[in-house]
Amino acid sequence: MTQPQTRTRHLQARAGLWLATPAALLLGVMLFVPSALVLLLSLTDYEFGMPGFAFVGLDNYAAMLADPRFRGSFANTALYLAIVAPVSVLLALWLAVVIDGQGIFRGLYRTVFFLPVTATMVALATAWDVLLHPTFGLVNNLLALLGGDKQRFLSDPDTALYTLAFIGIWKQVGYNILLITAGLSTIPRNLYEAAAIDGADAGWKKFTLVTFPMLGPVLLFVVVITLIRAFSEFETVAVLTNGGPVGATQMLLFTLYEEAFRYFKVGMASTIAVTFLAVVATVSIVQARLMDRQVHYV
Amino acid sequence: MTQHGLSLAHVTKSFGTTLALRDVSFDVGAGEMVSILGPSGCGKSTLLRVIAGLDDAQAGEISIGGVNVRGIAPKDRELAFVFQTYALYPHMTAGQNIAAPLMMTQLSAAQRTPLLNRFVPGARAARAAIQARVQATATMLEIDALLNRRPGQLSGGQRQRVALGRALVRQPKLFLLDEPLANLDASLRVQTRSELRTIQRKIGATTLFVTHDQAEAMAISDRIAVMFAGQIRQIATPDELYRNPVDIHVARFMSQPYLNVVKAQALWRIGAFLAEARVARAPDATKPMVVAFRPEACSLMPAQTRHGLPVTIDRAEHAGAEAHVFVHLQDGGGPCVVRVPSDDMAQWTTGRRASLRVDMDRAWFFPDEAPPGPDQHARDVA
Repeated sequence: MTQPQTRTRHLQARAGLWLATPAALLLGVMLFVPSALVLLLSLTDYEFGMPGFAFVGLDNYAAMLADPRFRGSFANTALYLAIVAPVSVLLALWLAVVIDGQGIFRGLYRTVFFLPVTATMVALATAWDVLLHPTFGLVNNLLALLGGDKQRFLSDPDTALYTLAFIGIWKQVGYNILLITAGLSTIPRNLYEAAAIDGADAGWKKFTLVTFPMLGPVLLFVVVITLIRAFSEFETVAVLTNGGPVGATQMLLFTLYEEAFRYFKVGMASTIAVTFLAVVATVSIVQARLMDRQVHYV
Repeated sequence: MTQHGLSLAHVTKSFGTTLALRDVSFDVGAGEMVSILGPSGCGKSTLLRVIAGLDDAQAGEISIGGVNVRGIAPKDRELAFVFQTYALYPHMTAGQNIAAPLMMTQLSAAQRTPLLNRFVPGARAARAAIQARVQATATMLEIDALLNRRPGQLSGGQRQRVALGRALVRQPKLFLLDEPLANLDASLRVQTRSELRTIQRKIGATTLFVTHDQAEAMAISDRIAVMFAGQIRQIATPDELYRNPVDIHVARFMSQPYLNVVKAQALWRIGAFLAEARVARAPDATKPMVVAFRPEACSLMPAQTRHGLPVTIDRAEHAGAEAHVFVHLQDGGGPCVVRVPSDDMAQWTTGRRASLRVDMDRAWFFPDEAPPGPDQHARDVA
């Protein structure tokens, strides 16, 4: 290599470094430093307003795993996840494929389903609160009209979590439809034509031969983003139930919030936050691995 | 011509206001290989897609193997289509790609489903039969060793063979090949086209082959249909097309890289003898005419004789065994290209005056037409 080329490379490397610095700094200040602090705090008994704190090792983690309140919160989160993730992904996949096959109403359907994504969740949750009100809510009025019993959707411990899951699905489906629709539009038309000649010109055959496998990378992303979003559900709990009735809708992020800002137990809240981060990171890493290996067909 | 190959009658197709196919009619005999030759955008791919049923024609009848295919879905037309991009399923191995048409048409949904298929009667036998056919096809195409690889791991030529295999395996009545060689590099293209022809002869399949490369079409076709602006201008054997093109555009397309076109008036003025030029159509005194001849149908004389056209040498290009000498006719007759043995090339120095003799047996007399455009009316040239 000649001298000028080496110098050009050197200059380019330095320019790259300079250009990357602001983003790296922001990332550090906004993400890595707070995360490290949270990790440290999770090993202490620090509480807001207390003059000092002591390192307690993994005591917080042990306490968290032993406390039935936290266990209930984990179980609720898991159940919520188990309902919201599969239903919102599969429903969105079905709707996206059906909408994609629509002619004139395609734009309308897309808008309708995407609406919950664009609006503020707190406002929409309030709207749901009104709709589901035990006495004057529209849903209960309809139920009564059809001869059913009025339900206390959000205040009955047996139905509250499922009601929240339903709202969670309603919220997530539109977002997933949008992602899947974008994925559908990248499938080469030639593949569908080849499939039509090969005998897979419609329905299940077409879906299994072309659509589903070609959507692989997008679907993996949709599953991960759905898992993470459902796992970090907070607004509906905060607005509609406050974790009640009798802890039936306590979920991880809401428990964290209560621990930190109602009981001021920063150490314990940090422990929950670290647990939360660990789960999200694991899901993301698994996704990245799968992405490399499974769905890129090379 | 044998019965029941492919038959098109008055097929017309438009996209919005643009006519892509104008009243296309021709027949292809069973087992015949016909090339559709034309420049990009002439409608040749559209023609193929209409025959396959991927696009619908507005008017006209198409029958494949004696069956009118109006209203019949592409999968039921008993044809195979090889796309220019190959359109292989990227998530499936080469073997699974080749098996796909059989899997989709011969197995039930349950038989196709992994795990579940173990409990379905007949699934094992059906799969074994398909596997045998895939293997036989792969052997014929010499791609046995590639069956477990995915398209992403194959070279362009190998992908092309897999695409061909997917077409062959179903033993269709009709093969439609849409520029199947266009994405291969030059040497592979020449080799593959003769292999394609060998395979086509062996299985005796009726084949339509779309290309924009006249050399390719000449090399492997029984007949060539030359297409311009959505119409078939001429359909004939390669030899007939080469010797007797029906108009100036076909002549130009069949004369690569050069065709000399000289306005007839210019030749009359300088007293050239034209009576023996091949006349594709009766000369019309009211229309301007041109004389067309290939570089090999003329020669240069060192002396200025009474029998030749006076020309001035512009430059010469070496082309291996032969050379092209670029000249222009004196008295404003325009440029011409003459093919000479490259041994004689040195004497034709720039600026030298010479005399051009045209072999009138190999020259054509055509009306002087504008290039074919969308505003021309359909004409019967068959």
